[in-house]
Amino acid sequence: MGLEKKLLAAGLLLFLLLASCSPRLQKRERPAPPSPPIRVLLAEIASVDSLEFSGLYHLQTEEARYAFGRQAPKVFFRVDSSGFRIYNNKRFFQFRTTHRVSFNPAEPSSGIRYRGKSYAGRIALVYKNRKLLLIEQLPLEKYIAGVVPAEIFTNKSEWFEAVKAQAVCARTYAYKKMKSRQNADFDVYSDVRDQAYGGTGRQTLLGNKATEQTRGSVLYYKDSLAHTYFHACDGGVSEAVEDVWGQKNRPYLNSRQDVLNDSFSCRTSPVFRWRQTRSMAQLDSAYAFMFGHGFSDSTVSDTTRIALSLRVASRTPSGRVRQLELRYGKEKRILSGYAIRRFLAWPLGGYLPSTLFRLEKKGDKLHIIGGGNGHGVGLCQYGAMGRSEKGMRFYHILQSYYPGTHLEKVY
Amino acid sequence: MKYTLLAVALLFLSTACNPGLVRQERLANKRPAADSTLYYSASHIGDPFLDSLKTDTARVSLVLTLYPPPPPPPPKFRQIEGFRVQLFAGLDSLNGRVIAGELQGVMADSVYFFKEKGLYKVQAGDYPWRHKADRMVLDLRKKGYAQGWVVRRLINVPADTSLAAQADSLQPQKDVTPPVEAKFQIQVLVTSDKEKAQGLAGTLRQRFQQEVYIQPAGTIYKVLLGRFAKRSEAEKVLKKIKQNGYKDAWLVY
Repeated sequence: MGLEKKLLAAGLLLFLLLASCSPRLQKRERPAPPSPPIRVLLAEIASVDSLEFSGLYHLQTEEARYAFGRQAPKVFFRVDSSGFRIYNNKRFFQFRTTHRVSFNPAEPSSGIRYRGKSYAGRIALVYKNRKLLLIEQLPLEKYIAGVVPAEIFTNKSEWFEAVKAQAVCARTYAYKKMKSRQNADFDVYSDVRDQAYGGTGRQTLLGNKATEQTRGSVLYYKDSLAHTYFHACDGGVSEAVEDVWGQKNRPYLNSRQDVLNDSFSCRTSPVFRWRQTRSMAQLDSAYAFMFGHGFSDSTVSDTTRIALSLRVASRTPSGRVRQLELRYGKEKRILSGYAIRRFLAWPLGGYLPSTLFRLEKKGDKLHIIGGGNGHGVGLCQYGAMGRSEKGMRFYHILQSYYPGTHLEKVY
Repeated sequence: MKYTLLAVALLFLSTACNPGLVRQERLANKRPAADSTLYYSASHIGDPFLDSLKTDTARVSLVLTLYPPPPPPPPKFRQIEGFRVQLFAGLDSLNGRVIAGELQGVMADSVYFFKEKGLYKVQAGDYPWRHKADRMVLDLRKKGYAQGWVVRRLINVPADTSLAAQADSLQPQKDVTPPVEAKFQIQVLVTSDKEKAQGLAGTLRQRFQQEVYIQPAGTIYKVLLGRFAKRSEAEKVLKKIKQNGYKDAWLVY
C-alpha cells in the first residue's frame, strides 16, 4: 500500500464521518406551518385616547398608506358620533364611521405601547356603536405566549410542565373562540372576560418555550374542542361544571379529589386553607352594600338587639356552599352562586376566595374557614405546579384534570 | 506511524468540532430516561376540613346592638320678642353675604344672614329694647352703613338669664330715654384747605357768638355753625349769616 492510498482512505473516512454525524446534511428542517391569526380586542375607545409607536408603522387606508412612528411617535384618537380622527403634531386624518383602517408594522422590530403594555401585531381600527375598537391581529402562538405568563407563574423551571399545560388550555380556549366568533369583529377580549393578555412586554422565557413546545396542540373531547376551564387552587376537591354555572354535565369536568400519591397536589399553595374574620359591623355594611339598607344606622328609642344568623342551606357534592341562608332582623334571604362570595367579601366589592368554607362563631366575630381560590372547575393551577414539581409531564397533568380528553395538533 | 497519528488527530478534531454531536449530547442529558414518572394517586384521602363540611349545618348567629342617641345638649339661647337692625333685604344673596361679612368685622354684636319669606336678609344685634336698636342704627350710620332700620322680631337671648339680668340691673336707667337731639346746623363752607377752614371758624365764632365745628369728611373739611333743636331757630341765624356775606351757607341736618 502506498502512502497516497493511505491518505485517500483517511480522507474518505473523515468525509464519511462528517457526513453521517452532521444533522444538517442528514435532515433539513422544514419550516413550521403558520399559526392562524387571532383578533384580540385591546380597548374600546369612547372619546379620546393615545398610543405610542416604537419603530416604523404604516397607517393603511383604502387609498394610501402613511408612515408613523419615525418623527412623532405618539398618535391620538378622538371618537364622536360622526366618525373618528387620528392625529398628532404632524398629521391629521378624519374618518367616517364606515372606514376601516389599520396600523401595519413595517419592520420586524416595530411595536406599540398602549396603556402601559407593549404589543407588536397589526392594529385594526373598527368603528362600532359610537366606539372605536382597537383590535390587535397576531398569530395565535404569539397571543398564547402573551397569555400564559399573565395567567400562571413562569419564574421557576420546575413548573415548566404546568406552564405547558396552561398553554394548551389557553390555546384550546382561544381556538374555540376563533371558531365560534368568526362573524364578529374580534375573537377574544384581552382581560378576564376571556383570558388575561399581557402583550409582548409580559412574555417570559419559560412561557415562550412552553408555547413553542406545545405548538398547535389543543385538547379535544371525543370530536369537539374541550371546555378548558381553570382556576388558581381547588382546595383539594374540584367542582362539577353543572354546579357552578348550571351548564350541562360534562364527564371530564366532574367533582373529584385532586390527589397525587397520598396527598393533595396543591397542598403547598398559600391559599390551600385560609381563615378570615368578620365583625358584626362589617357584615352589616356588606348587607347594606348588597341589599340597599342595613340596620346599624337606624335610630332607636331604646337599646335594641338585632340578630343576624347565617346557615349553609345546601352544599354541592364537592362540599362547596350552594345556598347560604341569611336572616337579619325580620328579613330572610337566600344567597347562591357568586352572591355568596360577594356578600362575605371584605373589602366590599371583591370576592371571597371560594365557596369551599365553613362558618364558625368565636366571641363576637364570625370566622370563615375555607380552602382554595376560584370556582374549582377544571385545571387547578397550583395543583398542576405541584404535579410538575413531582415530574409529571404536561399531557399527564391535562389527563388528570380533564380525564377522557386527548391532545390533537391542529396545525 | 506519523500518518496514523495524523488520522487520529483529525478524527478527534472532527468529532470535537461537530456541532451536531454536541447538541445531541446536550439533549440526551436533559431528556429524562422515562417519558413521565410513574405516579399513583390514592382513591380517597381523609381531610379534617373537607370532612367537617359534610356535617356542617349549624346556624351561626351574631347580634347587632343599637343604642339610643344621647339626649341633646341644653339650648344655649331662647327666643323672645325684641328688635334688630336690618341692613339688607333683597333677592341678591351674594350682596347680602358680603354685607354680613363686612359687618362681622365692624361690630361686636352678632350678625345674622338668612333667607326669610323669599328674601335674603342681613340683621345685626339682639336688642330687647327699641332704643338700643335705634342707637345701633345711628352708630352704623356713622360707620358708613346708612341703610339700616329697626325691625321687630324674635331675638336670641341667653337661655341662662341670671347673668343678663345682673348686667341689666347694673346699667343705669337713663339710657332708656333718648337725649333731645340738636340736629340742625348751618354749613358755611366746604373746602379742602384745613387752615382756611380753621381761620373761617375763628372769624365766625367771634362775629356770631355760636359754636363752630370743623367736620372732616374724606379730604375735605366742612365748617358747621351752631346746633339747633328747631328748624325756625336755625333759619333765623342762617338769614343773618347770608346777609353778612356768606351767601353759600345752607341748612344741614
